[in-house]
Formats: sequence, structure tokens, C-alpha cells
Amino acid sequence: MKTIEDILRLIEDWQGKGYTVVAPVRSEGLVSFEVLRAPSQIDFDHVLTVNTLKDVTLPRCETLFKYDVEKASIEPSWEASQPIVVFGSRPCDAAAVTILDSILMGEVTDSRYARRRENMIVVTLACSQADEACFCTSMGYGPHDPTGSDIIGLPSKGGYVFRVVSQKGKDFASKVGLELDEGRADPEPELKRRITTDGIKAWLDENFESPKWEKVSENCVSCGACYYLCPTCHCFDIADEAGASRGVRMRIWDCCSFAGFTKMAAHQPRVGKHRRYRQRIMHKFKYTVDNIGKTACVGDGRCIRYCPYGVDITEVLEALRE
Amino acid sequence: MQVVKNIYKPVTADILEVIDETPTIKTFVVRPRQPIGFQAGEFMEVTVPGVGEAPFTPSSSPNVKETIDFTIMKVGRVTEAIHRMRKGDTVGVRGPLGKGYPLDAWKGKEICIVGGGVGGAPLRALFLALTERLDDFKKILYCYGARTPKDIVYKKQIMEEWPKIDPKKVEIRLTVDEGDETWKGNVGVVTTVVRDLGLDLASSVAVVCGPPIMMKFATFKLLELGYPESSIYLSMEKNMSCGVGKCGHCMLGEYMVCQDGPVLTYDLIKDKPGIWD
Repeated sequence: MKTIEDILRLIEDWQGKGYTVVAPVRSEGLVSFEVLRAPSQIDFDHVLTVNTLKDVTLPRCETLFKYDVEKASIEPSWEASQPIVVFGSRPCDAAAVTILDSILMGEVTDSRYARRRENMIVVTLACSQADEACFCTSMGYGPHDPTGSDIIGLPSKGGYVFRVVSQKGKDFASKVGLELDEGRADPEPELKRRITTDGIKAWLDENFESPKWEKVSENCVSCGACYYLCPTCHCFDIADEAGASRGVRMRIWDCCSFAGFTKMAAHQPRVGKHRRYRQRIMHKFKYTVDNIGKTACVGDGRCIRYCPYGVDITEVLEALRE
Repeated sequence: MQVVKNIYKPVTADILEVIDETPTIKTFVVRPRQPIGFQAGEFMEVTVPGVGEAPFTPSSSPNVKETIDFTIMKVGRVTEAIHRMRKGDTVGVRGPLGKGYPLDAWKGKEICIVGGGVGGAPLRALFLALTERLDDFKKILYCYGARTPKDIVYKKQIMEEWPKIDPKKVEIRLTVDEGDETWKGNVGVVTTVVRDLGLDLASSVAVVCGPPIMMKFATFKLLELGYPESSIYLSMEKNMSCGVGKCGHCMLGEYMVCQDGPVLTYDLIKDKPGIWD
């Protein structure tokens, strides 16, 4: 078993060995993944960070390349490819990474994403508590689920026992001399929120047109908060920030709740809030299942916690299937 | 895992010529500084520096290697900016992307092409690719409709040159929604010339490209004439942004139009929601 003090010493050691460590940091009452300056910044008491590992693997906004028309140059822009340890992600966020891997790497590989993933080690701290919004067990995961982690620390008597999950984790552990732990983990916390997903895919297969879509999206204000906070939402837009002769091409997050998402110059194929909300649900619970065999939802519950109008995805799924 | 090239990086291309096709449509002949091959029906993302990228399907023959034509209607931000560009300006070209027309699978067949408006652009690339290997195909029927005679793209080619290619094998049928004093041909939407095809439907395929409403009625007309659903090839142009199946903009059901299409047969997408939207 490792105590919190042991863990802080480990992190300091990793930083000293040249790893950038990204971990949950509390600031103004909110806990977010940040690049760690000092190990003492890490927050161990929260349920879940506000932001997700998308901030590491698929940043909100990034430069794809710079160009200069007069010099006829197009320069790809790469950030330094430094090894990153993500420390203290929860199992739901680690599981979400595997979903993005299937989508962004697959047959055609997004090289920027792939490079970041290659340089990233996920050291999860499994959950010792859950809140009202957590529903990972309904989505086939759990508070101690190792999916997507390279190394997982399971809560144990006020500290953590560390186990290796992947080959990458094993290599990392031997490289930094991380000793693995024997010893039992505490029991997993109970989740209050529980839905059954049986029949949801079948309902979506048959009900693209249904009066229920208007009903379930009634309270949605198309603000996109759920998209920004979702660990698996990954849609993006490509745009230029530039003058006519020199500039940069950016990739920026984009959200299917926004009317501009599908709008073309002369045509808007997806008219109406309920159709855009339908796309969100269909993409998560039908299309992604059709394409990669799993839903694009890990039950982290951020969309429930932070929706300003109380749209609750578990209620929506149950209402649709009823 | 192999990290491949930057899939978002375009190749610089010089505009060699700008051709006015109609009051709102121009063809840009560009020469990429690195060779880019393509098959008819595959699309590319064209960059206007400082403005952005938009998807277009080349309108020139894929057998021409040096240059690529893009026929572009002025409808929005990027296309307005392209329309202001002149010979000597540079654009970026990224591609080819997606799946085009399966010409090899069509060997020995009769091809019925139905197009409308600027949808004539990908269809010209297809028509040229087909007629440049005409021995491989039994017959080519090209039906094209425009709003008025002024709106016909490639007017000289389509009215004077193409009918002479091989009158036994290649037939051109034109129509306009609204005629004028010079127009002596058919008046009516494009489906009014999609009849008495004189084709053996069992060994024929049909190709449709144009505005959504035209594609819908042309497809229904072809079905009514007896084409099997799997023999009708549609160009499903959506707002492809990344072009490589990642960004989520061009979804049609579970398909990413940019990867699984843009050319898709009707049987694959007929049950997909909102295909004509």
C-alpha cells in the first residue's frame, strides 16, 4: 500500500525524470486536470474533475499548420512530443480514452492524436466515492474498472494499491522503478443511479422519427456544455485564423447542438433543436455502436451535473425506450 | 503503431486559369505543386488562404495528371472568396478523399448519368473518365438539367463536342426549367428527359448528382423505370470538414459521407434518416 505521501514522492520523482504530469488540481472550488507544477497541488478528495482527458489528447483548439502564401510554405506545427503522465484520472475517463482511440486512430489515423497517445501514460486512481450523477455501472464500467488505464491505483485503507494493467504500464513502471503493491483494495462504492440499457439500441434503430424527440429535448438550450464536458464527444471543426497571405489553420471543438454544425452556405440539412439533440443521442448510443461496437458514453455523469437546465441523459434514455 | 503524415496538410496549387461558366459558377484550373492523382467522384478540400477550406469534387478528367479543374458555384463564405481569386493566385488542395465511382466494376455496362446544376461538375470528371475508355462500356447516356440556358455548365462541350464523341455509344440529353428565345431544346425538370432510355436495365447502372430535391426525384424516377436500388449511385455531398471520418459533420446515419462515400448506392442509404435533407 502507498500512502498519499508516498505518492507525492513518486510524482516528484517522475517530474524529475522529465515527465510532464497532468493531474487533478483544485482551484476556486473546481477540480480540473492541469499540468502539475508541484505534487502538493494534487487533489485526492474530489469525485470527478470538471474537464476530461480530451484536454490532453484532443485540445479545445490547436494549430494544425502555419502557412505563408508569399513564401509558398505550409509548415506543420507539432508541439514538442514530451512524455506525459496523466495521474489521477478516474476509471470512466480512462475508459473514454479507448473510445476516442477507436475513432481517431482506426483505419485512418489522426497523427496528432496518435502522437499524443503514444507519449501518454494513464495512471488511474479508482473511485472511493460516487455522487448522485455517476452511472458508470449502467454503461458496463465500474468504480474500479481498469479499462483504458495503464496503471491503476485502487483505494486501500486510506492509501492506494497500484496494479499494472497494460504492457505500456509495465514498461513505465520498470522504467521509473515503480513498485507494485500486494494487498487488498477497499470495496467499490455503491452507485445510486442505475438504468438498464437493454432495448435502447433497438429503439433507436427503429425510431429516428418519433414525437418523443421533441419532448426529451424540450429543456435543452443548445448551449453545448454537455459536449464540452463529455469525455467521448470529439466532433471538431477546421478553421483559419489569418490574413490573406499568412496564417494558421486551427482545429477547434464543435458541437452537434449548434445550428452552425451542419449548416452549409446554401443549405441547412438539420433544422430544429430536437433534430440536433437526436443526433447527439443517436451518435452516442446507435451510430458509434454500429461502427465500433460500443456506446460513446461511459456514465461519468458530467452532462447531468452541469447542464444548466437539468437535462438528464439517463432520464432521456429511459423516456425514449418506455 | 505507425504515425502517418499530417492528414490535414494541403498541397499548394497555382491557379492557371479561371473560366466563367454561368453567372454564378466558375471553373478554376489549378496545378498542384506536388502531383495529386484522383478517381472520378473522389473529392478534395480546397483552401482559400485566410478564409478556410471547403469540399469540392474535381470536374476534370482523372487522366489529366498535371492540372485539376474545380467548378465552383458562389454560395457562401469560402466560395465567394474563391470567386474573387484570379490566375496566378494560390490555393491549397487536400485529397483525394472518400470513395469515387467504381469504373472497373462497370465494365461492359450501359451508364445512365443524371445531373442538375453545379452537380454537373463531378459528372464531367466521370463522363470524361468513361469516354476516354469507351471500349470498356456499351453505352453512355448523359441527362443534364439547368435552371435556364444561361445556367448550363460546360455549355460548349456539352452542346457541341460531347455529342460528336461517338453518336452510336454516347447520347446527350439536355433540358432547362425555363427556356429563353435562344433555347430550342426540352423545357422541364431533368426527370422529363429520363425516359425511353433505350438501355438494358439489367446491365446498366445509373448515376445521380445535383441539388438534394433533384436527386430525390431523379432517384424515384430511376426506380420507377426499373433500376435496382443497388445500381443507382448517388453523390451524397454534405458539409465534409476533416474529410477523413473524424470530425462528425457529415454523418448520414452511421455513415461518414466523407469516408464511406461521397458516392453511395441507394440500397445502402435508402433507410438512412434524412437522406434528402
